[in-house]
Amino acid sequence: MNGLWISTLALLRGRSDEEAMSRVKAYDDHEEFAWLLKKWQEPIRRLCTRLTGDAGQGEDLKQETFLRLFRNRRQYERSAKFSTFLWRIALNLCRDEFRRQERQRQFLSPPLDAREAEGSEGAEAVWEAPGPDSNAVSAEEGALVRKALLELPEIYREVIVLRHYQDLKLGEIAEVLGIPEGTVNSRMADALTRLGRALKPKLRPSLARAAQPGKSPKSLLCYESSKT
Amino acid sequence: MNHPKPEEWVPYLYGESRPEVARELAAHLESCLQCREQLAGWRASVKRLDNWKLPRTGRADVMGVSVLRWAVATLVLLLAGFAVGRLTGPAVDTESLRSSIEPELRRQLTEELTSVVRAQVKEAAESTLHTAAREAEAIAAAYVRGLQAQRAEDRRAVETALARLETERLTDLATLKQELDTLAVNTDAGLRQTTAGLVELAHYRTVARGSEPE
Repeated sequence: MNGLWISTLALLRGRSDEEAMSRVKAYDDHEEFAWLLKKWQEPIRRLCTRLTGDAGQGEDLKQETFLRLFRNRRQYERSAKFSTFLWRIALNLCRDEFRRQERQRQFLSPPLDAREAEGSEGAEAVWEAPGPDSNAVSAEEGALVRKALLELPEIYREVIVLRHYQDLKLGEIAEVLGIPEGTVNSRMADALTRLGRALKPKLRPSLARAAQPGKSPKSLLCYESSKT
Repeated sequence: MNHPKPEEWVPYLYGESRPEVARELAAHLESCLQCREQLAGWRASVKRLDNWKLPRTGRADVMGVSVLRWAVATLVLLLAGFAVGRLTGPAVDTESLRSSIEPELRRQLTEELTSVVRAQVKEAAESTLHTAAREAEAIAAAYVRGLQAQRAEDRRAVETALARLETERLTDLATLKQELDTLAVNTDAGLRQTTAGLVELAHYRTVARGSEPE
């Protein structure tokens, strides 16, 4: 609904993002900047939240993105697409955040084996005890998707988030990332394959133990079978 | 069978293939179980991505609801006015009436909408900038505190190093003095021994000269 009002207002104003940003660049026009902020803050917040997996960080990175946009306003070229310029700023900030987290993890986190053991126990618990409430199941499923996405390498997570959640076309993603469209396609293919593996339903150990020879393996899928 | 490369399926999956390519891929799919399974797996993964939902921010909701309420109120007023007019007034040409008042209504609606949204946008921008400024100040203050702590630590380290150097200098001075004293004592003893030797030599020469024949 909000997006509809903004689009309507943009039509009524008869001015594009690029024109607004050009005014910000040329005259430090605060009203135009406020308009761009209002229009783009939600997509940027969602992008940053999806990429970092954390709502608080998403909010912080959104604010940092707009601060950097205003600070770098002189670098904006009128011929360039505003959205591409803005997505790039946000992506670079998210990448900086990944590097920082990675450095922290190297110093602070427990050894990999311990983490893997912990993670697998957590996942097991989720698969073992799906709640009866469909909302709870959906939330669990959402948490699994979030975890699977966060475990993907950065280059794969970026293409999935930009295509699926931000609804950018493959060509636009190539433009934002500054890589050929073929590379985007191949990254996306790898990403979807890895994601499929990560989300692959696991066997419930108790059922697996009780499995009889000749029984259909599909009947042992604790999650998919309960859904389908 | 020649299978298309995995990356060729990606635009097809998202409906972005050129029509002729899409037709070829669709034809291949009909005859290839392996590619069909691969694509089905991808579709399932893509579908499951929808399960990760993000809540909307409070501010956006408030803004959306307030604009919506305002729009609904305007609509209700317009409808009420229209109904009252229809019931109480003489029969009029509705088409001409609508065409005469529509531009004015549209203009007023646009102006009011613009002013409401602009005020809310300004408020949102000010709030964001204010928060950002506060955070920047906090970061700067933390940075200054860090610098001061670092400087104090550096000063302590320099003072410790200087104290250690002074101690070493005093120790070296005492050692040197002791060695010089020893050297002086030894030299003095040597000189005394030499003098005694010379005196003894002179005595022998005198004795020897006295005993020589005339």
